[in-house]
Amino acid sequence: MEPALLVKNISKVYGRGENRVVAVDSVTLALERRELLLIMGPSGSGKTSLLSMMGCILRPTSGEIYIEGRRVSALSEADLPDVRRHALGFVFQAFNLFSALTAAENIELVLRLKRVDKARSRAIAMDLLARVGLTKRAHLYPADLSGGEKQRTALARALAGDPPIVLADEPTANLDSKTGKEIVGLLKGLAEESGKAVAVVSHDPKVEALAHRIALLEDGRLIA
Amino acid sequence: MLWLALKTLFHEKIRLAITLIGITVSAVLVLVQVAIYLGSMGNATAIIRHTDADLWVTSRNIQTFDFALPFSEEVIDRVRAMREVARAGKILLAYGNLKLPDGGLEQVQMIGYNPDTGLGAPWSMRVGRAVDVKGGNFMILDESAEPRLGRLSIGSNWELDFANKPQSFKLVGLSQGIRSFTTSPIVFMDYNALSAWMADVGWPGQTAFIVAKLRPGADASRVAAALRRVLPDNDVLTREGFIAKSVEYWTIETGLGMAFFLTALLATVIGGSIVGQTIYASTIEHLREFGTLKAIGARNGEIYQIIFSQAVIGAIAGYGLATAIVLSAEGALQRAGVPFYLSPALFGALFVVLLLACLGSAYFSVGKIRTLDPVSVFKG
Repeated sequence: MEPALLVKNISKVYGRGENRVVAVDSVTLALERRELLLIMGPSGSGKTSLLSMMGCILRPTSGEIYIEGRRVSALSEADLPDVRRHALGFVFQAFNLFSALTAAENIELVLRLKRVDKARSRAIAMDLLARVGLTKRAHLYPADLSGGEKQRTALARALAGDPPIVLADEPTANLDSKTGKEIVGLLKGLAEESGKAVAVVSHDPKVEALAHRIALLEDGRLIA
Repeated sequence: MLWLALKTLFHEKIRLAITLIGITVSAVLVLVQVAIYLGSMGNATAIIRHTDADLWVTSRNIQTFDFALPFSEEVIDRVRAMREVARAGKILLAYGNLKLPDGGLEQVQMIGYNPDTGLGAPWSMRVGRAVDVKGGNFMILDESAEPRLGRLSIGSNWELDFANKPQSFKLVGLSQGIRSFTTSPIVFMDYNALSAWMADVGWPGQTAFIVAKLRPGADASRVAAALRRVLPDNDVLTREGFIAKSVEYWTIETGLGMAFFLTALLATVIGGSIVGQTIYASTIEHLREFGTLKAIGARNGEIYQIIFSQAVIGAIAGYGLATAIVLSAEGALQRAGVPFYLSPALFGALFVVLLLACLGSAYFSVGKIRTLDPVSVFKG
């Protein structure tokens, strides 16, 4: 069975001539279902560039990307939003919740993008908030939520529409240790119980302890 | 995405209030300016528009109805001689002074018309009939002149002075909504009475306008051209030509229209700028959110929809408030003698102008979204 996400010999080069910087250098990496993959590396090692390419947000300079067997690196710019919308869920370091929307509405927004009707969107949003333990906070705006609650809302949002792949960028960086542990636990639960393919970029030892596999990057190269 | 646009707009209540106040003030200003301009132009052309005539013969080079100069009445024979002319009539115009009960004087515009044909007669009567001026020193005043002239009682006698030859006129009727552009009250009277008076002051056999009604099927422009050839000392204008000439004179040559136009334009630009500025500021503030939208699969077009929806909502709400304000003030303005013309078409046309200004301003924010790199959302 093919992996949920496969990057094959991908590179990302910024600039030209003397300003040429190789952010990601010939990386091949597979992300399997039911797996929590941790991508680690020092600052500037290319982790975020790699994650952005895995998320079809950044185009690789060379190499190929497959999502559930489909070669998405060959798709046009106009087709990529559909891939992101249906196959991928994102969790960001700064949560990136919409300040004008309540916790529930932040989740509904993703479902509305996927053309799910209003009533069903609300039901799914409430179900997802229940999964992350935020039922009672559903009506609150991000400004009224704690850091951990914001990240749990963001996690619920990433799961809206049931994407097979979840990509998380430093999801515990802005959280205290206890809350960070809860979030990592939820991410692992997504992989093991919900069968998602989860890739996390992090420096956090808590993630390292719970990850099924670790990909170590250095100077854009995969070294382990 | 209209849902997200509304949520964002109403979540930032202070910004929304500032936007709405800006658009409303700007729209009120535009509406009032344009309504006063149209009202003024309506007054300037009212008699031309309400006289049942296809052609107007005037002295040479007059620009507008209010500034007519006398010429020989005999010209009417040449007009009547045209095969296409069904009937022709004369209208007199002169300026005199009405002596007020308190001893003061008020300049008035005297219009002499034929009460039998009704050419040049008041078209909207509140008390009496236009024909009542026939056969003597009788006059009709417009009720709107009451604040300036005092109580206008039917049957009261008034002293009118023309070239230091005062005469007494009896008020026999009241018209309504008939005002001159110059704001001088209009005194309607029998053509013969005014003509005799003019003869008495040294202008015998003079008239100010000859108006002609053409036979069905006659081409007014062609007949006007033919008349110009036989009347080299007069101007011959079609009804539409005279209206256009009057409007052009007041609008362009006096600079009045330009002043109205510039104020209305500035108000539109200010309204558009306020919307543009608030939407741009909001876009910059929510750039990370828009980046997130792109990252989770929204297309640029869907994000543009949010921005343009906010501009449209702002324009509709602001213009709606402005419309309510202007409509509620309309009566008071008209009672105060302000020439004011409003119509559904005017509201519609000005809404389109304001909407386009708001959408144009919102377009600057679209450029910011187009170049927004969704990778930026990964930056903590």
